[in-house]
Amino acid sequence: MLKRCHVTTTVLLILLSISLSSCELKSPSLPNYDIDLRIPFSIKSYNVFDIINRSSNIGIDSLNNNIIFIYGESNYRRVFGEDIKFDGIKETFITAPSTLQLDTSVTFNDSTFITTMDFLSGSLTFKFFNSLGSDYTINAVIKNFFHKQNNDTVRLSFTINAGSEKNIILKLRDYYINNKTPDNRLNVRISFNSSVPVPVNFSYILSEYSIENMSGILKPLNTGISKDEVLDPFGSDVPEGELFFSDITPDKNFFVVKKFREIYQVDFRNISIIGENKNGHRVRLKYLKTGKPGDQIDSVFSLILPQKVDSLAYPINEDNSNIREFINNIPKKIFVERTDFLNNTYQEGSVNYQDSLSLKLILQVPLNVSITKPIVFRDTADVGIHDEDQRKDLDKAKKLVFTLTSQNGIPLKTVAKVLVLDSLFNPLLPISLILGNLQDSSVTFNAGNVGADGFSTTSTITSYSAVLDSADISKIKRMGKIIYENKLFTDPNHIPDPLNSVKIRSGDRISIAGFGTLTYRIDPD
Amino acid sequence: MKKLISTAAIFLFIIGSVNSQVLYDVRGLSMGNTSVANSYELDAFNQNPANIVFQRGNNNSKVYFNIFTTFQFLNNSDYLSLNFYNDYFGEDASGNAFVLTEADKQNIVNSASDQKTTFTASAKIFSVIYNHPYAGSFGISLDDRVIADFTPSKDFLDLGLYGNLPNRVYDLSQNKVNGYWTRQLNLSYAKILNIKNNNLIESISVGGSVKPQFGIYYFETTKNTLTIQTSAQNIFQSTGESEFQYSGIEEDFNIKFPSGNAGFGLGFDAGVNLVFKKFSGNGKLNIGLALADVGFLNWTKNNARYFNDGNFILTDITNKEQVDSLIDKIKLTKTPVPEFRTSLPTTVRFGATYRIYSPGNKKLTGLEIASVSFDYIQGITDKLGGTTKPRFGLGAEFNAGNVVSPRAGVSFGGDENTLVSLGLGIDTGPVIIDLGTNNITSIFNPKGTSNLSAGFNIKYKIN
Repeated sequence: MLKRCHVTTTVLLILLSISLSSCELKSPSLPNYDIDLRIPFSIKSYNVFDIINRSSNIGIDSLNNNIIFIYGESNYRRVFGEDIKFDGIKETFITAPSTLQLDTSVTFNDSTFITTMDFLSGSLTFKFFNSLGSDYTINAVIKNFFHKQNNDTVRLSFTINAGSEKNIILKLRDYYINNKTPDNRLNVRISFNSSVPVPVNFSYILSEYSIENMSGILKPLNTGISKDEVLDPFGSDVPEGELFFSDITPDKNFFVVKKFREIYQVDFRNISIIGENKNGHRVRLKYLKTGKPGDQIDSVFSLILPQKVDSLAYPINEDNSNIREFINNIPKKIFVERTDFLNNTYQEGSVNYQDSLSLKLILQVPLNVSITKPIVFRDTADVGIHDEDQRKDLDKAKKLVFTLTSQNGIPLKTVAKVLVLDSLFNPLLPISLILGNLQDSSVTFNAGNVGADGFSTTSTITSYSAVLDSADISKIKRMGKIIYENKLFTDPNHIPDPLNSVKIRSGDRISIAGFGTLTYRIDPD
Repeated sequence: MKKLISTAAIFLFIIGSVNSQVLYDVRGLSMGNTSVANSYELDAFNQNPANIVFQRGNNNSKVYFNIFTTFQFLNNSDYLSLNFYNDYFGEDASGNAFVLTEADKQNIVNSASDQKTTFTASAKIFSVIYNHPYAGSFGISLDDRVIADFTPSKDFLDLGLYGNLPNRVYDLSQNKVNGYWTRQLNLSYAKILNIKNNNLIESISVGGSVKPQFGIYYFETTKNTLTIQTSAQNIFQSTGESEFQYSGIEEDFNIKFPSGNAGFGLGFDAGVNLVFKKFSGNGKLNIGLALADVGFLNWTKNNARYFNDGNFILTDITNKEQVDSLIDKIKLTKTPVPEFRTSLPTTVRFGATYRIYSPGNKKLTGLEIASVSFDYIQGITDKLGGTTKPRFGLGAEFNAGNVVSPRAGVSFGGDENTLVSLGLGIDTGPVIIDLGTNNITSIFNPKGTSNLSAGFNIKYKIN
């Protein structure tokens, strides 16, 4: 028994010795191995607002699936100023048999009957001739003509020497007319202070004059041609390219005519509206000839603002205008020419030289478009591998599989060029050329899928990959800029029949990501 | 990226291994981790204080002591063997690092994913027991113990070894690392109470320990919710946070041999051992019950919380702001925190030992021929390396004469699962040597086992 135990003990000790001697522990060293590091180099995401720049002219129609619309407004306002003009009256002679007193009148205007009238300019000139052999004195009163200064009736008193003439000039701005009932005359009483009756012989001249205000019955008055132009009615960032809008937003497009006080009826006549795009191409806006339904459309048309109405909106739609043609030109400038007529209905009323009129053109058009000449937008990103360790790590890279992927939710096809440059803008890597291998250095990202309603339904993913060698990788170490140039246009192959345009929503977005898989040796030493 | 991977790798493998439930004496280690009823003199410290009053049969010494001669360690892992280490983390014959093949990577991922590895080491700096013939036994012992554990998640290993695959979520929240280094002064007393006029019980020994605790290093993962998500475009988005609590005699994880302490606390052990009269014709039965490590430890020095805000997104590695932000996020933010308290790894042990005497030994005294022991060990808390998983042990010792005592055992449960243990005791008189392991494969296949265990003990006695 004891012997067996000693044997067991001996065996145990031997085992322990062997065991301990076999416990070799190598010097520690972390292992090396190859690993694929997937690195995001750059990711850019654009929506429509990035492409055409958000401004007050871009809106979202929340009632229509958040479709983007472009809004334009051009307002043409005029203040009458001295434009309410009358031609005046040529020299008019008044003769009568000899008398010591004469009641006569001076006709101001054949068709304008004045209750009150103040003047801005013009003059009334009287010429009296004395054919007698002696002097005499004239006392005259113009009963409905008053001094502005003191509201006194205008009275004239002067002597005319024998065989001579006397000119009396009244500057109209110092006077006003006031009648109890509308009248077109100045009522004059002339008394001759002479020992014998005097043969009446005088003339008056009313020069062209303009008025400060008047009430009464104004003759239909042409206030002249007014010309105006509005720059950037759709904002300053109207996209380049040629867009063809499929429709306009219903009930959002108007001519609005407005006057800023109740004055006579205004007839906006011979309206001519011309839109000029960035390239100088002009399109005339045609509308109902007289603004009434059933009229022919014409590039010269008229609109009426009745006397009792302050403002009036004339709807514009595709039935009563060539609005789509006009919009599709995307005007950079809009020229307007028109002639405003006052009181064509020949009603009693009033007008003041500070009164104004406006003609406003309001347009709203959804981005339901086809684009044949691409919209181009560019973006430059500052990039760079600044961390020294990262740069050293790139030296250890065996290869880099570079991938450029787009996830396009915008229903527009994108042709992109991507160029890597150093910080001084010296080209380093034409990424899109390497990836696409096309002569024009571009890659094409397919449009988002379009549904039957014209909106994009799902994003389309397009990827390009290429293997960069160590020389290319070393260029990446020096990169400082990446320039993206994107051209967007509609792709007929992605538009379901019978549509020929696509609708762009506010949420539509394209993401372009550049990333790489770097095969890298982990070497803790 | 290199730094990240290197850090991750170091994180993963240098910390290495993790903890076991309790400290065993070398003899108990060899006998299926049984000790509550069968341990004696210096081996009984921390197992059952009532047992310090006992000695090996045929011994009646006044003093037992040792100085720097007791050491043991346990490595508990499902994969981390010496072979695993040497194959992947050791230099080759030329001094070069090993180059992992795809198969190696797969093996590492398959082996280590979500596996907790525990490393426990303990050493007695000194211990002594004085046996007074009447007053009982007085003991004092100064022990160090180090416990560390680490769990790498599968996603963490995938990320580190294969890189960031697109369109994948990496859940790193299961990554954990904890480490504790404590020292205790064990002041124990035990006495045998002879029971008279009792046909069943021969004696009862009772004992208790007061154990001032000295914290040296404490590191614990207190929170980890880190998740990394990758996209088809290789965008790297991380969410969550991780938080670690630290206390130590040096700041910021600087480890040095302790000359002071970073925390102080108090622990208590209590135990009882009943010796039954003639349980059978040729044997005696002991039943032991002990409650160990009841107490606390207050950590007071260099206390800090290290916080890692894992919320970042990397869409463009050429974007300096993003890269700088990422580097900032990876750095841990240190915040001083006030004193905090941890409980000790309280354990209840219950067990029995049956001593078999030679047929001619009718008095059942002296050295038994053999003994068979059983222990049930239940942890109350998982603090400071404890576990609440119960463990069972069954062991035997054969005394081949007075000098050599081969030992063997088997244990189940706990963090280690089933292990077969083996050991040897050599009593040369004034010098007693114990060798052992709680995993027999540590002897037969030490390089292949992932449960490497060894204990070595030399103690001295003065009659």
